Amino acid sequence: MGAKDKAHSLNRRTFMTAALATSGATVASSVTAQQSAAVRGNGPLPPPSAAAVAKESAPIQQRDDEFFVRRAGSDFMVDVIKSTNVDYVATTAGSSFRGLHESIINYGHNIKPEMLTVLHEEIALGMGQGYAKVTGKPLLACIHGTVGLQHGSMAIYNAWCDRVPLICIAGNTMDAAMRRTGVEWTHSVQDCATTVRDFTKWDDQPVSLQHFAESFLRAHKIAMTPPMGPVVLVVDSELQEREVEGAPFVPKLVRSSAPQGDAGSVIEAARLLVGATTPVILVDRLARTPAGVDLLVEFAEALGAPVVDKFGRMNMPNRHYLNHSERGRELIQEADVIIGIELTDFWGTVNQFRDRVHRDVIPAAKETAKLISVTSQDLFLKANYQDFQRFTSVDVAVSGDGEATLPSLIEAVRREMNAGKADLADARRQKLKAAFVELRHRAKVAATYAWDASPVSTARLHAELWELLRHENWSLVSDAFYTNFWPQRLWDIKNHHHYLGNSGGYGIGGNLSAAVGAALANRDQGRISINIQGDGDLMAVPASLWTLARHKVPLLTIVHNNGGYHQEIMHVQRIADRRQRGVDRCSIGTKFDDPSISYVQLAKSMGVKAEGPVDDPKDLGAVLKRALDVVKAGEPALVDVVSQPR
Amino acid sequence: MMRIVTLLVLSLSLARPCGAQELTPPAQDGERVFRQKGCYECHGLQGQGSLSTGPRIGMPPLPFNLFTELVRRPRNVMPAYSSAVLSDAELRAIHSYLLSLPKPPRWSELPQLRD
Repeated sequence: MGAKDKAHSLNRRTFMTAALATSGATVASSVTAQQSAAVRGNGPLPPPSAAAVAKESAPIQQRDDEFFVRRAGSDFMVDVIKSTNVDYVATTAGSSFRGLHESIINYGHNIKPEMLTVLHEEIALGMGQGYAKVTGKPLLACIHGTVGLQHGSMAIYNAWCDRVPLICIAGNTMDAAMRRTGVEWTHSVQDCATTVRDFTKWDDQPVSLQHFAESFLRAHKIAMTPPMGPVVLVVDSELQEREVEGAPFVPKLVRSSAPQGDAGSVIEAARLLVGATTPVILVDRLARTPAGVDLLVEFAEALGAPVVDKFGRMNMPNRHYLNHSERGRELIQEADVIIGIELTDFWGTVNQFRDRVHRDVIPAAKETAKLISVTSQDLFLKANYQDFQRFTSVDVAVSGDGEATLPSLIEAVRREMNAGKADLADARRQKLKAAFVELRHRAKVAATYAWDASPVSTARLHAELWELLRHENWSLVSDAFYTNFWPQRLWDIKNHHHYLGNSGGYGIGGNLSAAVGAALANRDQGRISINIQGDGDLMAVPASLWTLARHKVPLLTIVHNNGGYHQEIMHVQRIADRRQRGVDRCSIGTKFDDPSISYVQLAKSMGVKAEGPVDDPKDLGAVLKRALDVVKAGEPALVDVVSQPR
Repeated sequence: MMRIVTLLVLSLSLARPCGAQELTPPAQDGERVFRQKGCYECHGLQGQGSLSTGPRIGMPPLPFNLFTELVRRPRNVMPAYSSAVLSDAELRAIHSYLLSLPKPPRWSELPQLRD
């Protein structure tokens, strides 16, 4: 500021002091006249009174602690979070956790956890589902306790159904006397977690920092113990923002071991399996870790039994001669002993339930077949949401985590195996090897139908993509159900990270959200991620694309652009057929192709490089290669492919 | 079963050679009806089938009489299409369309399908 400016600048104290000095005795006598003039709006304001001047110019008496907090409660919370080795926290910003937010980015230096900016809570929590399936550990999500939890509840449900660990911190302001007026009341709730309690393993609402520390560690432990699942911690805003009192400490976290099946039932299961002529192994959410894949291979080879993979995870290498997933129905019909390990729906696997006017059931397995289940699901169920499927009458129920139980089961099988039974197992292996060769041939023949069709067949799409991926370090982070499991039929799926399974609850938006989280985890492992993305699912959470660009997550998203909710079209068609009317009107309310959506423009608007739509299969190879090059350089890319419904 | 196999073998000889693209008017009409009635939802636009929704019904299709029987009185989970929603003439047009589709290429000739 120059000297001239200084002379003219309004310095309140100088003015006030000068005004007092110059007004003198005339102040009192002239005030009334001047005030009257001011009220009439045609005169200057009167000078301030002596009392007012004294008040304005007196030294400030307030204490620092009325303005500043030296050690905030949420700083301690960050200490607790860091002790659990959490890498990321996905947030959709909210004032109810502003204290924790600030502590993460400043006190914690935004390192472990690093904050991810996400534009919808469903995406933030969905990212956690995908992330955990790659890394085996939870992502933390911080959201508003009321509206945020409502937004994100579907993603929590997906994680629950999929048995995946997820830690959700929900902000809230419990003390009514501390709430700012207006929106803070709308965003406060007495029992926050009630929104999601029916599909979480545990929740708590700590009232002190020490309580927070113990609850956070307990939440982590519970989320990570099979059957794994989501947990919620409701964190009070005052607890975050007040000064730390006392000396809270961070306890040691030791994970609980996974529950294993008891020795007796394991031995009984092994006896039945080794004594069988046509045993079959069914698996779904078995392999929580890469070790699970190795154990399953060992188990299947020890028994000489075929494996039917229901693809809830990557369980069995698809080019292993004992993987007979495509012959599942035939094998179940012939089986005399069936073991289901972490099957989501055992009943539905050994029975065919027909959706007809009069529903009926056709058993898929022999009436005399012995059924063995190995699952941790029996150890933890809740009643309200019915994701646990129909009750199955089994002959041996081994309660324990499948992956944790396999070592003892393998040992029991080996002990039970004698020379005669070993010969039987060996004869099975030879037959299965020959049948496997035929299976591979049949899959390739099936892929050739509609090879040159437009819209592009899903087989052609996957074949072109495989041609580019076969020598890369890749991970498929999307559900292959809607594209006929072509990866499992054509690609070389041998590592655990090659396939992550499905969303669990089939809540729309779950695929893309989880794909973002999985791709983030894969990035840290030096892998590229591939997402064959349903168009309807994408449109539920399009802002996921922005997070990909913002955090430079290398994900290749290929839009399976079939212009509608085809599962629902088929449902409505079924009903129209039953009622013998309007089967040609079932696209009403189900298709979204008029106008067609430009996924390329959508992606570009959010900073994601994109190309398409591609509707000629001859163009696929070149377009996919360009997109893959972008991803290999460390950025997300999207290709829009106009494809067949399935 | 043997009757079905015999009929299938006979119908294979009727399939169009690979590469032929033009559709006769009945086949064009059949393609329109195939889409309009939503058959493609479960069976694919070329009747190639899908693991989760419906088997392959084209390249080649079953003989017309058997085809009709399975559409009017399906064996499994497929909904029944009565003549109220799909006339005999429309069914024949669909069958013509499926019959007109070219044979697929051999997978051994496609580099994308090699191991």
